[in-house]
Amino acid sequence: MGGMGARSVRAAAARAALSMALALAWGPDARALETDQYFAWTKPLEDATAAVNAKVNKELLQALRDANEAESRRGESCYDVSRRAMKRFRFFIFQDIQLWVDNAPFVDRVPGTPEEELAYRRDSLYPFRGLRDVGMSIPPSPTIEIDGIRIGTDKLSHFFSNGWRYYRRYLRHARRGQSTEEAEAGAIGPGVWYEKNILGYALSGVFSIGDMEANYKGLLFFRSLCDGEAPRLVNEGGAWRLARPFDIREFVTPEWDESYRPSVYSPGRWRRVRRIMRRYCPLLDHPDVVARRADYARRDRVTETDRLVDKLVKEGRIADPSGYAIDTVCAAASSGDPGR
Amino acid sequence: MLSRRPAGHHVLAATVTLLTMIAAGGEVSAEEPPSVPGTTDLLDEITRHDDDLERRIVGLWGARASRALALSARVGLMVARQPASFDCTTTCEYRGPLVQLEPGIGGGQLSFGHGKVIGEHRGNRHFLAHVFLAYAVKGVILHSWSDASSVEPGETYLGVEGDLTAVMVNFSLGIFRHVSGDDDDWIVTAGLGWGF
Repeated sequence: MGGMGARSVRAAAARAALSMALALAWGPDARALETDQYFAWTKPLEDATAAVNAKVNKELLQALRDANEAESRRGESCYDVSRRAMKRFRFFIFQDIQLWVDNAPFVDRVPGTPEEELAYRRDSLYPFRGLRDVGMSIPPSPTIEIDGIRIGTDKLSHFFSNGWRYYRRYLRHARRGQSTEEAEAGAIGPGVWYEKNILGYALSGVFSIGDMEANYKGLLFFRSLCDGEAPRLVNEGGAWRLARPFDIREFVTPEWDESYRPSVYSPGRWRRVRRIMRRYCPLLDHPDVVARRADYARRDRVTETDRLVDKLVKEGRIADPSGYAIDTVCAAASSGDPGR
Repeated sequence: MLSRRPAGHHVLAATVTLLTMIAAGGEVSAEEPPSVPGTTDLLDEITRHDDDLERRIVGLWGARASRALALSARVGLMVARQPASFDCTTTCEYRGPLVQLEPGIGGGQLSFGHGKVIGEHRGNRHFLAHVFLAYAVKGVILHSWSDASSVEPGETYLGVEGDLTAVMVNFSLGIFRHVSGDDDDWIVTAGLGWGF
């Protein structure tokens, strides 16, 4: 523990235990995983869209086979079938889909070798620091590329796990007669509170806008299974069919790349992260980085998450994320300003 | 090795055919994979990969302070099935039956149960070096042998114990009935430790 006194160790352990208890009590969408896309900035990555789509569609088809096979399940509703599908992706903190993507040979990842993994844990924005930093006791998740957008594999966990949680809350609000917009706001609001006040700052000191965006898109995915004029799941003659296959490109946006849409940090976490971010300033002019960020800017749209974050900033509930952007950090560093 | 770089032709072919499927609004049967070249191939390949499971035995370790055993160290084995390609150098999941042996200052216990462990080997071939999340429910035979235990020495108990580990911190809770000796009929034990 490098010089920590006994009182500090006990305080850190108590803080860690309380944070972990709160995180575990929240249930399966407890977030305890971070990611660092800066580390992958100049490293080549093959697109993983096809593999992720094939895996998800395979699981969806298996869920439908399970629903159709047993006589007792023939009367299942679309919600029941979507719940059956969700269970194939979801566990507790570590979602099955993420564990598969982190290990399967079909998906190119950074880090991609044991040597790169060791470097990642040492040099990432979130290196392990023992009991003083229990929020970073789990290694940061690797980076993959989806349709030209770099994302942490933790976003898949957020998408399926938190997305399902948001969907259930959405349905509760919708059943009360609320409009789609009201029901979505009712679904997202508690998640924002939880991210900000429990896991965001208490456990990891990171409030990730990318995570919020993935959560929201997960809600839209689960809504697309049964809702609207063209749901993905249709029942024909008592048997469920997948009318429209899953395509992750419908959901991934540049906001999912945390090096493009920066997180908001607690002051203590920011002191450490900023120091590491400054190492990437020379790479801002790298052709790959320039091209990718230009592509992101071209594809960037104002999302529901952007609107929500703007609202939180205006209300003074979170700091302005632009202060944590690499451009801001590097501009301050080059001007000799220690504050940013 | 953590990953092999996938063949580019899989990605391109599957992407193009998936686009075609979406544009055509084609329906996908639940009984069979999408009948489109490329997409079918990759989905079939992933299905074969996921079904190609290998039996693995992983070593578990831990230490804890508990009512019945005082301070103890435990070693265990879990049998699980995983895709043959997973080397679990980093985060991986094991799920299956397990056995644990746990000698301590106050007594010892032998446990049989079922659990799930998410952890990593970090280069250690036989044991999980780090356990990030784990749980198990076990049948336990417990015997006390010293005054360090919270029960009289020489007592034997049978019971059920639940274990939960989160980022290496272990919590356990058990309920036991004595099967020999003169102590109370039932005891509840709790423990706090490291590992799994």
